[in-house]
Amino acid sequence: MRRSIPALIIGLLTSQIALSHEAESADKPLVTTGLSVYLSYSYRDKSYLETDSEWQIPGALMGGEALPVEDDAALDDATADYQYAFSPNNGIQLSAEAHGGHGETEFKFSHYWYLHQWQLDDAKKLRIEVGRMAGIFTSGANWHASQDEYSEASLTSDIFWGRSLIDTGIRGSYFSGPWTLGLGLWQGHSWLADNGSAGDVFAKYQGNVSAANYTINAWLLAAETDTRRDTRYFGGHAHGNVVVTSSDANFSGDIQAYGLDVELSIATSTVSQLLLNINLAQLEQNGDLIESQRSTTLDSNYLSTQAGISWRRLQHELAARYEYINLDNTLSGSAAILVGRNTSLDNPNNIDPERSTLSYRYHHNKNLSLRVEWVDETLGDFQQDRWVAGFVLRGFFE
Amino acid sequence: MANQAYLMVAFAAIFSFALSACGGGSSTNYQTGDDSESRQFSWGVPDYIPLPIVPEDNPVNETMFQLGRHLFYDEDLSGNGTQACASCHHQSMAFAESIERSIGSTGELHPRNAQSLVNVAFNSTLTWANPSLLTLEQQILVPLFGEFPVEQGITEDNKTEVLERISQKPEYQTLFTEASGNADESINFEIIVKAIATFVRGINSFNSDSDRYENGEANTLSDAALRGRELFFSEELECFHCHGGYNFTDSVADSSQLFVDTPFHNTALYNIDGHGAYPETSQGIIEITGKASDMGRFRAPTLRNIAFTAPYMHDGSISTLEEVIRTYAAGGRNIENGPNAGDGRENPFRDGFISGFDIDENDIQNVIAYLNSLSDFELINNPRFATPWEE
Repeated sequence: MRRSIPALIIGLLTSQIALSHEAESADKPLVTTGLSVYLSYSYRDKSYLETDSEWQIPGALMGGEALPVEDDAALDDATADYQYAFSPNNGIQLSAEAHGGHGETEFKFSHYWYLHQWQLDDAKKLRIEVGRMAGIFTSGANWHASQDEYSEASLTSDIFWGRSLIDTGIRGSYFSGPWTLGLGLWQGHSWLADNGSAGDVFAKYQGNVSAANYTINAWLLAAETDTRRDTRYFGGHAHGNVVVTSSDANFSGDIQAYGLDVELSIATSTVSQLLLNINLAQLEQNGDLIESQRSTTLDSNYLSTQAGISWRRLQHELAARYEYINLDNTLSGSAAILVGRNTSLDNPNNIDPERSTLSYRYHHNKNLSLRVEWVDETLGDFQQDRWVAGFVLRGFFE
Repeated sequence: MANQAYLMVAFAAIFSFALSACGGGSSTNYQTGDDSESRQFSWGVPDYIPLPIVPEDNPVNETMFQLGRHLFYDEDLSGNGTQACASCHHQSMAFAESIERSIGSTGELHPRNAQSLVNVAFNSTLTWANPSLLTLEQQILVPLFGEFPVEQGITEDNKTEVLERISQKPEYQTLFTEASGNADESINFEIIVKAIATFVRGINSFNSDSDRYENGEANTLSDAALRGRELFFSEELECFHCHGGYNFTDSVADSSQLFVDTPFHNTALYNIDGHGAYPETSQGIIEITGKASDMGRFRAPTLRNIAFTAPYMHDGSISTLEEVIRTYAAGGRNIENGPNAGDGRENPFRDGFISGFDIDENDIQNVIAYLNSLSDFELINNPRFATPWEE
């Protein structure tokens, strides 16, 4: 397994080995010993904001790992997933990831969990996963540029989930024909449910009509959090013995989220495919928001709409995505206005976060894709359009 | 193919439904819900600021405010009939004083500079350096009855005479009766203290150009003030850490807080013995706590109306805002000769935020332009706070 980085890249470019994240088939083993690597590197002509400024979207309680994009060339992220199979139906996975930014690269172990699957009969199986892992109840709950069609996280991923819903817990999935039913119980180590607990359920149906395949996924998440903070910028500034944090605001309360993901793929010819997807999600948060020793009651309701279309012919793919989020907040109590203004919740011009993305992708092979994107977005009073050009490397090494 | 068409129609329907969800319009609504009797008082506090903490045994009302206003400006409320609260707290100076250190009714020099009384109801502690003075009712006893130093000089020996002087003024007969609600109750210091506290509690200022700017009014700050604002809230200058928030101080208390912090800071003005000593006349909260590390620690005053309140610092030892900024830029004050000689920059108790910064002449003036924008001219000209004895 010892390879130099150039050798690794050459291996990625020339490898024709199938990738993970393929559609699940009955014959495919649950766990295959080997290493999957993904890397995304992009150039942007503009950044969201100046270095050392905080990225806050007016009307949203931000947090987790939702950091803004930066201009110039940078590593979006790189992930390495190592699986070890005790048998085709059980094993472990270890995942590490690296993120770039501010000219630095941060490495960390993100997931480690045990997977076990029972084949009940030809069409039915039961899977249990235990450990620290990503939520899979909806596609944006855990996002990586290197494993996504787009180089930038969706607004839903950033605002709803803090870009990364990774938690310690247990998940059970039941597969029966076209149906997949899932249940996850979490300890509350993710940003969303920090210091609390969470549970999710999802029901997915995969069907086809003629040359069209479709997937409908309905999901629900309930969580509670205690003293949840936006720690994205913590630890970055010190004054002698005084450590400055960007905001000491914290939220404690209940969270409910539910949504629907619909995907439709149509083979438009033997070498081309049209893909449509719609994602609807709603996030409700009710509880107490405390800022600078002041408390107010927060009742928020976020509604997210995302629609995408892509058409691929051979190695060329054109895609577009439109995102829109409605952020409604009500703060109550004598400190309501003060807390609202001192956090990111104040939205005096009632502006909805909105983004449109156009993308062209060239898929050199299964291991290398090039992508060019044009992004036009409005976040609060900030409007920007920018260009992105980059590449994605993927590979699997047994 | 018909089935596929149905599928496309279904998808289009979902897409249309999704788009119809757009355009709802984000909004953040505030329900302060404070329609209490307390809010009915003419606080001069906008809705977005929580009300100050008011002691249960001294609720605010206009009667007590007007009684307190008369007493605040009455020189008869002193041992020798020569000094009122207003003698050291002038409305034209945002209820501060233009001399370095105040002089009491008997001529004794006060160890500290008279602070502005504006928004003092929002202070978490009162005076420059006393962590135990938490209410105006407690604090007002100090200038009235204090002996070290003597301010208004009321003592056991003269307090009856003082009350008699007050009682003889016809204006007070109605005011005291209305305030106490009891025509038979004699004039006493308990009501006097509560009334002055109510008056001072009602002197509030949130009507500066800076307030208008923060509330979205365009063209209220000059380009220089805007640049100064940027510097003020920057991590380079650090000003906002001790002078942030709606009252431009980190020593703030209001009715919405879960708990109240009482911070004090050593701004590195002195270092007489090389071990952090301040002049004996005024050494900070060490005088109360006795803790060595509390040497030189004082409460950060509000910067609202700071342009009116020169001279500056706890002892009035810096005469201009420009000099204050230069002192902070240097990371403290180096006094090269005289009885207070010593390099404050080397003070071991210097606050972490007094770390020094680079600033050019132009930006010094920009910061001053911003500080000037914190001035509330309506406050210093408001007849509500002026002496009633000349009406």
